[in-house]
Amino acid sequence: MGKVIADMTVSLDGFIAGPNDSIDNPLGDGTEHLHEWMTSLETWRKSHGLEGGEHNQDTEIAEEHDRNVGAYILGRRMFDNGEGPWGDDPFRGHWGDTPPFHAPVFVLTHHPRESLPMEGGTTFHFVTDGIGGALTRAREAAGEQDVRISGGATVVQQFLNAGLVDQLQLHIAPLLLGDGIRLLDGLDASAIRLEPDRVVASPKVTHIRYRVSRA
Amino acid sequence: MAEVIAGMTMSLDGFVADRDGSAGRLYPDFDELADSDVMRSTIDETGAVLMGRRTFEMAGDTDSYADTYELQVPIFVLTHRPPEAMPKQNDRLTFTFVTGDVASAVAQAKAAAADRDVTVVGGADVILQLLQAGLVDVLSIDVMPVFLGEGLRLFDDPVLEGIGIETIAVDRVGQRITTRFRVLNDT
Repeated sequence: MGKVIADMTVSLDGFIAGPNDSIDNPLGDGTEHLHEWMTSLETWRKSHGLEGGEHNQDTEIAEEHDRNVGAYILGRRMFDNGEGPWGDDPFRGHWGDTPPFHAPVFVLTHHPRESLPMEGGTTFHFVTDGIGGALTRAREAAGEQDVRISGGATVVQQFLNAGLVDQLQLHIAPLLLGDGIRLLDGLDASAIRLEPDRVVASPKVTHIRYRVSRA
Repeated sequence: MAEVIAGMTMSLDGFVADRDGSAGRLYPDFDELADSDVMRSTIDETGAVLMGRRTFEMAGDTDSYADTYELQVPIFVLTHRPPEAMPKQNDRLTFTFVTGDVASAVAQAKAAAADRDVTVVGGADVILQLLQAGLVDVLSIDVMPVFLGEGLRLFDDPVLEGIGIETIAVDRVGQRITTRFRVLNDT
């Protein structure tokens, strides 16, 4: 069985998105540089149909990001920054016709919706029975490969507090956002044990990876 | 020229003290840290210490600074009400209680530090005021692999938005990840 990995880019003050996020402003205000460590890389640009880009010490980290990942789990807010019923002509996610997952993606929502196959191997499945249900289905889909929790913050918090995460990697960007959506909030301090197992630093970002277990 | 280095240890979820005001869970490595290269270079480079009143009180017996505090240098304490009795001092470690603003405290500490650094050891509110006033040159944050869940956060104020920082160094001392950032006050 693969690992369950939570892997997120945060500002030094702990935010994964700025204030005022919306469908047109998915990362909120002031976040232009938050993911720059990744979006400036040749490997990321190539996978998004763009030319150019850098090859540096962050390349290996970015490339291992999706390596051996058999399924993804994400929260509804990551999908469309929305909530409530989907409506008649629902949004198809922030990633265009060919999303970069190339694997099944289980989207946590309170509102049922038909599975949505996209180009390039990504299918969005909408799961209404909570993190446990999503994980069971993601594990089945992933087989021996890993399951990656791709956010948002409340989804990562729920998985951590339920003791379901094996590895947590933070990509800490040297930025202070001041406000927004905090990744590590409301955690059950007594239930979670962390052990750092790798630190890689570059000028644009510090990657810290922890093994996570139940205390 | 002395630099102002503001440093604290925080939990991975960003707290510098738990809900009871204790930082104990962030220092399981206290002895290891006291004997580390990081601490030795901090001791070498520090010419004066600046701290807030609550941080000063965290020692319990404030006479103990003169006997046991690692940084045996002039200490400047920001406070609205200086203690009635001056704590114990020695040839190297003296106390100055500064009732003025943070800028005046920094200026006095820099003068005392001469060509060495001013190390700001907290609390979070003092560091926030200094950052806001553009008085921090280097931010030195240690991250411990624990979650505290609640308590006092180091970075918890919208005024921080847009303060530019650049990574200087990232290292690891046992469980502790040490990070240093230059604060870009001119941009």
